[in-house]
Amino acid sequence: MKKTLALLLAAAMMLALCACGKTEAPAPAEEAPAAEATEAAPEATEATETLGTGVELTVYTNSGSSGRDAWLTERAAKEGFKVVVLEDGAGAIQQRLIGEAANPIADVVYGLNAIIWNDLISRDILVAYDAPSWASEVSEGLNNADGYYYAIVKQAIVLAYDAAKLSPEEAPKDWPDLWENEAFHGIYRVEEKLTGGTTRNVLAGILCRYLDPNGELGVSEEGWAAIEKFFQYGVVAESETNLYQEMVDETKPTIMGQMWSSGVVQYDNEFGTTSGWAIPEVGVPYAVEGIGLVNGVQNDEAKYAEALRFIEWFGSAEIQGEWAEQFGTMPANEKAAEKADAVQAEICSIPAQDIDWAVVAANIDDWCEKITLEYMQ
Amino acid sequence: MKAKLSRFWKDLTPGRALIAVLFVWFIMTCIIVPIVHLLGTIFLADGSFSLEPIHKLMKSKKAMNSLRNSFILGPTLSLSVGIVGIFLVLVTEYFDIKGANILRLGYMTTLLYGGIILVSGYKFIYGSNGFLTNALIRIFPSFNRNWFQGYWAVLFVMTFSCTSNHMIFLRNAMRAVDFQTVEAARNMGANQWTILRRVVLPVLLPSLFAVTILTFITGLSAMSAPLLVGGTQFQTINPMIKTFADSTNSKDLAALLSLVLGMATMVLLYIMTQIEKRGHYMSVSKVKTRIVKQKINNPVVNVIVHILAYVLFAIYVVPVVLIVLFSFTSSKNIATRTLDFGSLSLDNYRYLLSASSNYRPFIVSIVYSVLAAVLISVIIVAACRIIQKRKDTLVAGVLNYSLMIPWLLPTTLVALALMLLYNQHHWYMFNRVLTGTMIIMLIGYVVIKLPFSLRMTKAAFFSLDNALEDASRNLGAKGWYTFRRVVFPAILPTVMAVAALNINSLLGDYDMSAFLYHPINPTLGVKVRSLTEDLTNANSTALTFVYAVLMMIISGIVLFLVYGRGSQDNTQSK
Repeated sequence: MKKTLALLLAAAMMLALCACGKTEAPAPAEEAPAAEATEAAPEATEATETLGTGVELTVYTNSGSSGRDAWLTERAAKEGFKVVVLEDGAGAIQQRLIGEAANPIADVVYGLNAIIWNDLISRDILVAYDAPSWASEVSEGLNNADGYYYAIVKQAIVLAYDAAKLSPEEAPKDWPDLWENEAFHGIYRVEEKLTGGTTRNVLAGILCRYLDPNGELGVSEEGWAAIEKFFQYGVVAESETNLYQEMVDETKPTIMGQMWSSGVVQYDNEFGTTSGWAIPEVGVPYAVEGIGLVNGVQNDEAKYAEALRFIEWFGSAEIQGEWAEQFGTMPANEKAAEKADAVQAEICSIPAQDIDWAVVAANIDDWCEKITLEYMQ
Repeated sequence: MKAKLSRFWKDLTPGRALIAVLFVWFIMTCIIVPIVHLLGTIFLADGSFSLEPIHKLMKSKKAMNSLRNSFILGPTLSLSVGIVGIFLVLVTEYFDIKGANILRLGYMTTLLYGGIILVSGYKFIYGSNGFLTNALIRIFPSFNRNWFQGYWAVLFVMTFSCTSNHMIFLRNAMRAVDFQTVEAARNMGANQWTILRRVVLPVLLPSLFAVTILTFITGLSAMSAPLLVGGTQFQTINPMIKTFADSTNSKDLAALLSLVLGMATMVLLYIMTQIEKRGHYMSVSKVKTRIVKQKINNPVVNVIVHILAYVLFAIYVVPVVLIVLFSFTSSKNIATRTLDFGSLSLDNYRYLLSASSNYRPFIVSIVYSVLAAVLISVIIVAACRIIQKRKDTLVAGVLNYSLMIPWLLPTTLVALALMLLYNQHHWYMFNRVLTGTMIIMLIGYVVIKLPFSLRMTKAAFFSLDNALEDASRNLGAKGWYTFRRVVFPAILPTVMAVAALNINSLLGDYDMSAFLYHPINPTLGVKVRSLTEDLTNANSTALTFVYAVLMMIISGIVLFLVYGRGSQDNTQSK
């Protein structure tokens, strides 16, 4: 009698396993084309048939929110591309690419920042490719010298402050002012989570001034002392709030902190603030969003050709110009730069700080680990 | 020995062998191999094991403080949640309190939402710019705005958010109390307090133990409450684990810290199991009668209990009401906490439901959560039956603890473990690469919810009256028939409750989804994250509130399907 019980239970388990395998796979496949068909305009569908090679590309990005992914899918369809965009945070995209390295799912990656790009290169996750025709139009020093990625969008990472509370003369000129000048103690924001791209660019911008091969993790003692003070005199960010929320909140002392250039423009609009930003003599770090090919795609000839065609198209001055108009980005392509917002263009005229991104990429995790363990309250 | 062995072979029917094979395969390929493989990659990254991570952690004041805080929060939270939870169950199920049905609905709101949404709701009221804080400042201008911060704030928020398990499992147990025992005690002259302490409470003990341990674990691994209201004084270890787990090179620290928490959890579970073995107090009556609600005799106590019950009701309900109301406003209103009834509009909802990319994640998450919950139920019921039948054998022990293993690691690392192993083909996974398929996230969802489900379902199996099963067999019923008609109906409420809780908590999952979701099927958690980090959409905060409300509605429907019918049965039986 136990036999029946056992058999039935086993059958139930098997059934459940099979059921999920079966019901799950086709369902989305059925839904997906339907959804696309309703969204895409009829002429786009026709265009797909005439223009496209029919090869589907999987694109990973951290720059797909606010409808960017949908815009890209539709816009690309007009040119005959079939793209599936997977959007997630920069760190998550990095981890996925590392985790899937043995059998990559993505064909093309765009977005991210120089630190992550260099980490991916060192892990052999990207494959170098011949420069697309627009590569020469990109501001100098932003493309990867070895051809692993080419820049499409740039963001200056600045120290922004509330110009209603500080005049340009009173405001800090560079990051070290924050801890060296007592007037700024307790009124600037420091991040609690060190995983964000902007935060890591700021830390890289500070620590790379103190590189010393003999120091701990390649940084001199002076450098670590500076970072310690930076965190000691700052106000730890409240989680789930952004700098501008704290700026407009009269109960909070915070009036300055790190911000990316398009953020300055957007948040000023949203919160009705007027921002000023420090213009350091050494320049500012730039978060470079690039576009690269995932190692493995070169083994599939049709895919490889299509991926290259996609890169050639997406990075062009025309598309990056449209992208900038639509989403307020600052194109790395100088021919498209006029399409960007004037304030942002002004911020992005600050020269780029000279940073060895390969060194940063190799060390940033350890630096952040040390800071989290030793210098954060 | 020989006899034992021959019995073993006699017992080993083809069906059993199949079940055994399935379990061994599942536990090895979905739990043990991925996790061992992951730990190998992180700890032996340079080819040899190093004590370096331990030194790093010992040296860090912050890490040690966080660890200490977690171990302070665990026990104190068990205590405070225990007190509140028992009070809630007594008020709604045992004592005669005016408006108990409405109170119950209010107390159950924590089942609808949790984590970050709930803490944000509390912050809306008590935070430095919250409603209550502002009101207090109007009365006492010198009042400290940042009063709601640190240990007490964390304890307060978590005490009220962690009573969900009490409201489900302790309530189920309370309904199993035999009223005849209460009456008998009263006839023998016992007063209300004595009856409560000596008659009612002992019956609740198995469930109470189980939920207390769960609360302890929740306290140890607290995440959103310390982050949002802990301030710099009271940070716990889990946010730190999460940070390190998200960082490509610091995974050794994340794994080490979570192993410390995991070991503590395992010790607790071991103690639990030992206590469970000591036996249970159970009504010997075979014809139980349902509890008749008790009026509190002492008038003063009665009034106090009523007041407390309604104060608690307000604490539970106000955050929910605020979240719902603010979902009809703009982000700016949310940031400034101004509620203007004239400006409420459906715009957010209209926006959200206008594009399929906005509501499709709901469908994806619902499908995944339901499938996962069903699979978990099948696995866990089978496992519990084996553990119950083979009590005190090695098989039961191994099965029990191996299903608990996922508790040793944070979700992020479990996801990574699956991803890192199955990005290549292995014979034991039928030579298939799982990354990039739809199935891998389902496996992940199932694996992370196994420990909780096993813990709660086992408690139900243990409080089962063996005599019922014996009676069924004596009447000639076969094993499967007995299970189906006698055992299963008795544990069904718990199985359903566990499934409902699993569905509700998987609905908003981000940690697992982030690594494993299929490109064309983003889940709700992924969508909400992308919204909260959305820079160009001025109304993103408001939209996250809308998602929260929609999630609450789905959770509400799920709970109604489980409990709505249950309560109808009750009214009929009355």
